[in-house]
Amino acid sequence: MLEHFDPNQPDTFEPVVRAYQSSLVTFAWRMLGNGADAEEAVQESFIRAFRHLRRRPRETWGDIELTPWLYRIALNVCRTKGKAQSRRVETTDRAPLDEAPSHECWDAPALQETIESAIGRLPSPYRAVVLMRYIDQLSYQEIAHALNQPLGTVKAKIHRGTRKLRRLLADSLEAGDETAM
Amino acid sequence: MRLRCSDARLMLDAYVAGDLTEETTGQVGAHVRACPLCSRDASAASKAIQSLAGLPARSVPAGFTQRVMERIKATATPPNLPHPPEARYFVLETSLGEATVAYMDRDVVHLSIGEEEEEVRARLVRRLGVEPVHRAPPHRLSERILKTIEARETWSRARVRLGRVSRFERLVLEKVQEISFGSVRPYWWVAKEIGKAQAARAVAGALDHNPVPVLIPCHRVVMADGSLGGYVLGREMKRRLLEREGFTPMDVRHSVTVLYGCRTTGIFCFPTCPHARRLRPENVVPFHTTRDARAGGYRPCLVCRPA
Repeated sequence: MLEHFDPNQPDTFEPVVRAYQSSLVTFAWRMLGNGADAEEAVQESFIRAFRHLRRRPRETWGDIELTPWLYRIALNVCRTKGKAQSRRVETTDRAPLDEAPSHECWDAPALQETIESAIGRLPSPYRAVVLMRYIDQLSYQEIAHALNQPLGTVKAKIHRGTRKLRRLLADSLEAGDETAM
Repeated sequence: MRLRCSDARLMLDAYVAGDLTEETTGQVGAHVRACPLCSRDASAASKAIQSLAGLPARSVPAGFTQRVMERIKATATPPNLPHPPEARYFVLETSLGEATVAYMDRDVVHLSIGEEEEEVRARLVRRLGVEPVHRAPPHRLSERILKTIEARETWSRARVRLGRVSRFERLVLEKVQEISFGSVRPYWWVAKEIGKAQAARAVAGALDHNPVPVLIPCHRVVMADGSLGGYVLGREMKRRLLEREGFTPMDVRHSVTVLYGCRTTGIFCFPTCPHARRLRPENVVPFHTTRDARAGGYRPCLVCRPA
């Protein structure tokens, strides 16, 4: 995607923005729990990516794996934002867990909300890998790349993350539906 | 081998994700089929994973792409033009006289003592190609420089930038930065250390161009016969600077014309090497030349590298 990119013509960066904006905004929203912050974070990420490319010699662009690289930038921006956020009053447009209408068990919209709030309660390092793996379908290798961590660490994190998520889900589903199993 | 439930549970999520080896997949699979609890958890895990994949993406608001592109263009407008470098200078009152210090960003590019402002400006224009601007001394930087000049700190914390100097000059100046407070080395030592053993005179020439004397301690380099040699800021200044580090002219002479061998280790050092300083007097064997020391069966120290 970078073959046609020319740092002196910013318009050539637009295909990258278009291709990734949706998944990154969704990712950042789930990381930050707030739509406005997420959009700002993604804007910031694209700008950082652009600036980096501009500074970097063209010959080395081939070494960039776009997907993990952009996620890495987004993740870093989210971390910074997350810190700023935690100093502010908690802002979220995510439904709080106990208000989530979880009782109708597996019916679609309610279930979605239950899952969203469970994701929101996942500790953020796990949240990041679980989102990248199962929502954005990045490969282990790509996630390892994005986090700059060894493959084994990433796998273990994902497994632990799914376990935590599963338990969070079980808690909120069972609260309303003891007879389901 | 049959797995216990507690072991299987540890691997359950890896099993569901398909990340186990063939053998352990078989074992965990067998357990899951036999154990209702684990089978329930396994299906909960795969359901969770599936439902994650089914979550709808958040919609990107209209005009988002345009806004991003606008901001990118805003950052891109001065295409690749580096900021024009800005040099600033200030004057510090020190016990050695008025010091003029110039810096760019946070790097010191020039230091002189007792030089006229006009001279300094002309010199900087010649050397860096920029007209320096007078500023009030920035607190941290001036404090650091004062500490170094007044010898309250035994090494310089100020970052320096050499600017336009030749490769040879750079090598010499960087090497001289290694000579610590209270040590002196002869010119030939610097030449030998940068791999140009014949270039002792050229070293002296390079040090005469030291843009940041005191910060790069070229006053700690003296002649092989023990005399002080020249100095960018004048020989008298060199003497005063060395005096602050505890050297009388006799000490200087002694520090480069004698080598200390150690009777117990068979190693010889410059007398100002940290290792030489901790020798017991009764173990010191003085030599005049490295050849004498070697002939006596001694080898050069690896820290001060007198040969």
